[in-house]
Amino acid sequence: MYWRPVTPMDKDLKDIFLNALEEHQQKLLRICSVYARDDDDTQDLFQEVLINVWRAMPSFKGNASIGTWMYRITLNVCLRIRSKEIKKQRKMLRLDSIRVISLQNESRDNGMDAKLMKLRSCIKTLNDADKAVITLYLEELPYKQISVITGLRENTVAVKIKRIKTKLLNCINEMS
Amino acid sequence: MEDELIKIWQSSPKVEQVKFEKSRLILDLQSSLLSLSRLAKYGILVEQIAVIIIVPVFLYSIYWVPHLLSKIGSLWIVAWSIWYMSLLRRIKRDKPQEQDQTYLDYLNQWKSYLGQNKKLTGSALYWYILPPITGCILFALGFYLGNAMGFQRFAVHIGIFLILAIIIHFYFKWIIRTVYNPRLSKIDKLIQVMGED
Repeated sequence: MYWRPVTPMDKDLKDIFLNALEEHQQKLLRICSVYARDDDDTQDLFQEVLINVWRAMPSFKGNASIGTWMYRITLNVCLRIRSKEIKKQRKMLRLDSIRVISLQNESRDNGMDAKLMKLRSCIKTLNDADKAVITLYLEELPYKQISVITGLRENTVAVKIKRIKTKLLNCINEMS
Repeated sequence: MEDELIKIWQSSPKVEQVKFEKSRLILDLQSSLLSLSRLAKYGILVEQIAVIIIVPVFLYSIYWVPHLLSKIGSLWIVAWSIWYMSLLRRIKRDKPQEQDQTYLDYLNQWKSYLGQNKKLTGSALYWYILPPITGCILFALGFYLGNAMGFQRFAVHIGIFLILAIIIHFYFKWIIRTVYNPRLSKIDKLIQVMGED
């Protein structure tokens, strides 16, 4: 028999993982979206993030909040795996155990969609470090948490965010 | 407008639901590879220390032992030890790293690494057992022919070398069966399960 029986540890890990995922998956997915080329690419990157988070679960010590820890892994994965690398592999990793499924078909505000597209496009023009900082800011993470995740000092984070916001607003205005 | 940025950003469609079923396999393999890495790390360290001790001892014995065959045996063991040290370094260096690659690449790297090491272990008789045993037999033979050792003692030495060689040979067979084969099969299974669209 290949599959070993479920142990209590597995079950605990799985529960922690699923609860944290339920809380943070939208945010993680949005972060992935700025490092990916398109929606397919985003989903591939998101899969990769989930696999890495799951693999790292046994080493989660609880020193930081699980959210902070997941953001850190997400950024690491997004930064180290270039979308072009993913595209190069025609057969991308597919987990039948971790699957992203479309749920929502509700009508959406076209104006908001257009703005979102512009914002994403503008974020994609930033360098990797700025992308990381601004996506965490847009997820409304406090400066302190952004600082813990990125390893930057809080002051640096604040200065960077101010500068990037101006840049983004200019970029969006130019596109309009 | 700044709050507007946050509002726009968070208006991304909520289209995802994550299903999670049988990913125990990932953790299982992860812990299995981790234990192998630890085992390999200490194994390599022990072998390196052994080589560091063996080389100066046999270098000195080239100068010290009187019989030519013993000198050749010592030189042979030193040469083999140096080659073996370089092999250990290569094995250590080639261990898969988790940098700039997807998990699938990582699995494939491990598969290839374990496959190579399995092949190497399978042929250990020719590079790990026979060369040093030959050196040791030459070394002992020099003592016997130089009348520094009686036949009975010489035969006991040869017997010990041969028994050691047989034990090591079967130990490597056991390593292949219990260390390499299960891990390779886990990796194959995981690649197969995860690679399906």
